[in-house]
Amino acid sequence: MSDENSDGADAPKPGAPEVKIMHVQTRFTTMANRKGGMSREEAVERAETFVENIAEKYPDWVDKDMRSLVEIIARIKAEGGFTKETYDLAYRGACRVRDLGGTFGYELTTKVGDSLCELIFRLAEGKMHSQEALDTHMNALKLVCTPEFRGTPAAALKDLTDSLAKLVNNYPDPDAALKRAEAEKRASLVKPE
Amino acid sequence: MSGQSGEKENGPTMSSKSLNFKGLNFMIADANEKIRGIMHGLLRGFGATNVIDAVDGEAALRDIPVRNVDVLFCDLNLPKIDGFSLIKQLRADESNAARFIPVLILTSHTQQRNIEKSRDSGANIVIAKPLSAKAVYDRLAWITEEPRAFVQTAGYIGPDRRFKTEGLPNGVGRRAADAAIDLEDEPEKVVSDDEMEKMFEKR
Repeated sequence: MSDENSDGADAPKPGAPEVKIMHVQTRFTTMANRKGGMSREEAVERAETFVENIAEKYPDWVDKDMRSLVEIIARIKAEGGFTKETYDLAYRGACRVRDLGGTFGYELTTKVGDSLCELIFRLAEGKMHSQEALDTHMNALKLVCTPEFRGTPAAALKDLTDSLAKLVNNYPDPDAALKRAEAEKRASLVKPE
Repeated sequence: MSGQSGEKENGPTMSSKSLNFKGLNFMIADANEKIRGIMHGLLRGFGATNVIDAVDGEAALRDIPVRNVDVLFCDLNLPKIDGFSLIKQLRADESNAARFIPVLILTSHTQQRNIEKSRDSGANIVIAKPLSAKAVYDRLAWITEEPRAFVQTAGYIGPDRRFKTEGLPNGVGRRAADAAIDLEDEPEKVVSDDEMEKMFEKR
């Protein structure tokens, strides 16, 4: 893990910008590769069992997170748009609801939550506000978090998720230029077979 | 458990060998206690015996050398010191024996800019929330199987980000058949796990 464990640093060529390359054997790699480990199958199964065992906490957790989110969206409405603080709180709040749903296997919550995250991102980064779009998403999210709809597969409410996606696409993606640049960079590095 | 996040049955992150996490010190730096709880469970399920919490970036930075942390999982939006700064400070501190430890970012903020910033701050890999056992395990396995050289320049300290064109082992890698990612045409608004892996993979 430390410098002493490095198997050497490559010296920079004369005139070249100074670049130090170190080949480091970390304690993590050494120890993880010891004998007596667990197979992937067993490790994943044990970990998934743990998540299943705590799934009963999900309703309380999501209710709490939804209550906070409702308060933040109400604050955004009262203030007529996002501030740096409410953007951060709303985005985090929406992500929490989405991520909990995803971790416990509620794909509809994940999908609607993801759409809300994206909407908040696009609106706030683009210095825009649409209470109607936010409210529509919040109503959908409240619905899919109810016990009746929680376990519904996303495909069963495709119309709902498609409508939400359409709503989000009314606002430009602030990362579009970055995505294009990365795609071009990657395309130029593809090695011919 | 959904396993929606990066769940893959084939590919460069799929490990067939056994891994031994006993005795290793894992740190989870995340302000969200639910995420920390879930991560504890996943890591214990994988056989980890020592899992340490940090509720903010300051605590993480302070405790990493003291607790001999071997692997850091950190959220980007940490209070006090955010994830990017935490990694940069950790990597830059030459007196810190833990500066080379693998750092895995756990984040919901999978916009392109955050993934690039994570890579450029010196993280080894990004794991998108929601968390799944398979995604977390496979990324840990990937780090053990594909160790990267550490690069230090005036503007960057961290795992080597340079591209190599020979591709990853097992015939999976950056070749024409591996389908270049065209993010512009992707219907998803954020960067997927696969795309993130490609941005971080050994180059």
